[in-house]
Amino acid sequence: MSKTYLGEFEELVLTIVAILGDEAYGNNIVKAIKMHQDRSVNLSAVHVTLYRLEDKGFVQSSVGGATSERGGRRKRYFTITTAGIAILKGIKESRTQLWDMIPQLKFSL
Amino acid sequence: MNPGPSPTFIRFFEWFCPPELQEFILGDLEEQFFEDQEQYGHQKANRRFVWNVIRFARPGIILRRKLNTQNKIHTAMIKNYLKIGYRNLMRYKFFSFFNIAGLSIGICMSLFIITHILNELSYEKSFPKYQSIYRVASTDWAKLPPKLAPQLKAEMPEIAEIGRLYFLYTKVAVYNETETLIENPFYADQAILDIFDFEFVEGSAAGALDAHDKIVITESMAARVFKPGEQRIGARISLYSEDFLTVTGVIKDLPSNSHLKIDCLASMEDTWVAQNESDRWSGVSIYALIDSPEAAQQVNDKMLDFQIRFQANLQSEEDIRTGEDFYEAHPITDIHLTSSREKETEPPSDMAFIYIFSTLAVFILVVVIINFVNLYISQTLNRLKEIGIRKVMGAQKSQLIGQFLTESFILVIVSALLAIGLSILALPYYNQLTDIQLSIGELFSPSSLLLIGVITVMVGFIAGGYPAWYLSRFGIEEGLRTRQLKVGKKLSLRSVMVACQFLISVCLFTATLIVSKQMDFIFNKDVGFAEEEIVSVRLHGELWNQTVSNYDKVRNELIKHADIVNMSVTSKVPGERFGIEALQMGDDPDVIIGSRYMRADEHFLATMGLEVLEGDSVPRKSTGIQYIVNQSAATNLQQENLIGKTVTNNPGSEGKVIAIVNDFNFASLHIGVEPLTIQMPSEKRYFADYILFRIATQDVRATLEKIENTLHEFAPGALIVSKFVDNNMDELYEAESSMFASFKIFSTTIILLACFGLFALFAFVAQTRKKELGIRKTLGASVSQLLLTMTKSYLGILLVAMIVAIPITWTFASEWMTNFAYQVDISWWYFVIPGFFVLILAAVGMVGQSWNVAKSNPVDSLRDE
Repeated sequence: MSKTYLGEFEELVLTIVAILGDEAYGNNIVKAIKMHQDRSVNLSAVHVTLYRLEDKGFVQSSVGGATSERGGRRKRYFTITTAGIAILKGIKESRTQLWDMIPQLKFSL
Repeated sequence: MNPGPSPTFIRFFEWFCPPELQEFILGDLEEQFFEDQEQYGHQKANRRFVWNVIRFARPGIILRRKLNTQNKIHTAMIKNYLKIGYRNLMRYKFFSFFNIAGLSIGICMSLFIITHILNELSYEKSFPKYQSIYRVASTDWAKLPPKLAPQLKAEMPEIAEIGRLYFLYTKVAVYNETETLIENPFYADQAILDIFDFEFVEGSAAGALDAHDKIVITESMAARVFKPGEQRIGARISLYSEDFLTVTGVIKDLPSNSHLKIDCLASMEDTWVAQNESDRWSGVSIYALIDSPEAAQQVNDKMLDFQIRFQANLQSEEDIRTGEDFYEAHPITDIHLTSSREKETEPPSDMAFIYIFSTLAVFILVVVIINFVNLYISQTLNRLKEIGIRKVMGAQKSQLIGQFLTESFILVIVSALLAIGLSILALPYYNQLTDIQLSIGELFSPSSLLLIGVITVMVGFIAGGYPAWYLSRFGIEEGLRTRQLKVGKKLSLRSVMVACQFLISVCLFTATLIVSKQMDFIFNKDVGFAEEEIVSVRLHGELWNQTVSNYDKVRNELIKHADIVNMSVTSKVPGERFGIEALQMGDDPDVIIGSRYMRADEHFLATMGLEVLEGDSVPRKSTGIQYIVNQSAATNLQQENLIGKTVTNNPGSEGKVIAIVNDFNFASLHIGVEPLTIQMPSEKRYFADYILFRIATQDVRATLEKIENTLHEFAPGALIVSKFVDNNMDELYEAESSMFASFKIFSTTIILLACFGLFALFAFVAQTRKKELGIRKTLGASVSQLLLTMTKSYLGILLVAMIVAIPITWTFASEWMTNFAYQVDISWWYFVIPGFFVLILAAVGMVGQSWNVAKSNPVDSLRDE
């Protein structure tokens, strides 16, 4: 998996998708980022990133039912794939590994 | 309910966003908007919405479409498109056939026209130095006095080379006592070879014409004069009776796209030049090599001063300055298309040709493209269901567009290939028709191939792109629900196209009608003499010798034949250019007019069948010179009782006017009858170039044979070149008739194509409206009402087009007619009849096509679902 590189924002979006489970779609993701990270992101950036993640095979999308609040338009839900979880895990592990290698921090704790 | 977000920006979003993403993103956007609306109010929510939409206009979104398309066009799909395309082709055989045939005929014809035009524009360009070759001529007259050339060269250092050409009025070359007919013999200076760089097959240009009695001949003349294998260089040929010329070179035939038509070049004799030293006689063409346009400009700047010095004996400086005839050096490339000078060696073409035929080419293309697009669109409108299903199966807009483009390109490419084949087959006929020699190489020059390519791509994109764009816009349900599209809304675009075609047809029809009336008029106009009964025989060599020395005997032998009504020896044949000379009153030297001249013997009036208005209708043989003038000359002289008065041409040629004849048309009808003087010298030796025979027209062949046999009794073996005078006259309109011949073919084809296009279109429209008509019929409409419903929308368009056509054709016709001094009357109905004719044709087509549908049992059309 070393070939596939995840950008910071991509990692963030992917993580949020994983967190939201069945409820991950454009607006929800924006809100979740705002809520958990106190960071305002633009919807378009989220969409583009989602499509990119889908191209890379880390998320998959499905079309939900229509609701009246969106002018009858359907939602496109994203869920994380096994590959997505694997890469998140990989990132986390490599971070921890690196973290553990910082000497000062280890002793100051 | 609260107002939604700005519809403009929703549309904007829909415009740039790939359709497969639209729904979800827009949903998100709208959801956000309504939340904002509750929180911040409508205004702010809308601002945020707009901002969000704008933020979406980023490559990650917009360009996604491209990436997707690339992924989704598979070879399997292309195979499917080809298969469906082929099935559709077969399903609508008639329309496919018509589409392909029409387009290929159109491409083929425009290819011919373009090649022809390129050929016209390429005149003189095959001479290596064509850009530096200038001709020195006067603004009215293509030829100048021989001695002008050396003087000009001496005075103008800008001129690198100068050379003269003189057209010899002999028609026969003699080698080994065998006579060969030649059309275009010339005297030429050595410099001519250097200026034009003729390509030598045998011998070389160096010194080929530097001394007297040398001759350079073309390959084709060599092939006619010599037997295969004969030694040509050094052979001795005679153009005139006694003097023999040594062949010093054989050159390649001149390209057909040159104003020079040359069979052979004989060295210009110093003695001949000396004999023609007169500065009055403008008889040679002068060509100069000038390095640059700037140098040519300098030459022209000095030309007026030169002319004043050169013509000092003829005209005063003031006369020249105030006159209209100036010497000039002009590029030879201007000669073919723009020269209208007297004495051109070849009747030049006309810029009008280029304009008229470019217009025709555009018309042809417009008509066939409209046909193609119209038919193709109509055809695809019936495929809405197919498109709907394709969409259901997941086809994207880009895929549908790809499909339609594939299909239309199949049609167009097949047509283009057919057009190429067709052009190769039709080339000989076109060459024959227009009397030019286009080669296959010229036909498929890079520029023509580019043209075919451009047409192919253009038609392919218009024809395929429009339905693709139009049909793929519809939603799935729409495509599935309606079996056919309503034609109502489509009428506007179609109307314009139909009107366009109709307009072109009517314009061309009218133009063809008027041009053919005028040509008929020209060919059939009573020219004032019996042109159909007169045959001319060119005199040369022994034949000439016998005729001038034994004339009475020759005449008696010939006139014995009952079929030969009369004969006369003349210097010119009507239809040739007659030179302009002076006609002066003997008693009053101040009365002097310019007049065309010919020389003839006393039988001329009777032979020609001229009408004698005043004076002696049967001139007698006389020992002195006698004069006959035509009415125009008599009017110009302004003399009372002209008959019997003495007139003169130049000193020593005084003679009495014995008759005034009618103004017969001895020259082309492009110009009116000019003053003409027929001089009748007593001695035939000085003028005899032709014998004119007036013959009975029952058995022409036998009569011509009798003439030939009798002449052979006097000059055995002589080549007898006989020609009817009316043919000679008709040649004056060669440019027009060959142009008209092709014009007629092209315009007829265009009209037919346009009509077929309309028919086919109506057939489709009738099919499309079958159900509507069925319902109308069920509700009680009569057949005639149905026909009216079908046709009325088109009839209106056609009427408008017809009215618009009138001023267009009127302008064209009156412009073209100014070329002729004698014009046929254009009556108003020439403008109305074609319009109605095409209208009726179209109406017949429409009614015919609608009739089946209107007559059919409504049950059939309504049941079929």
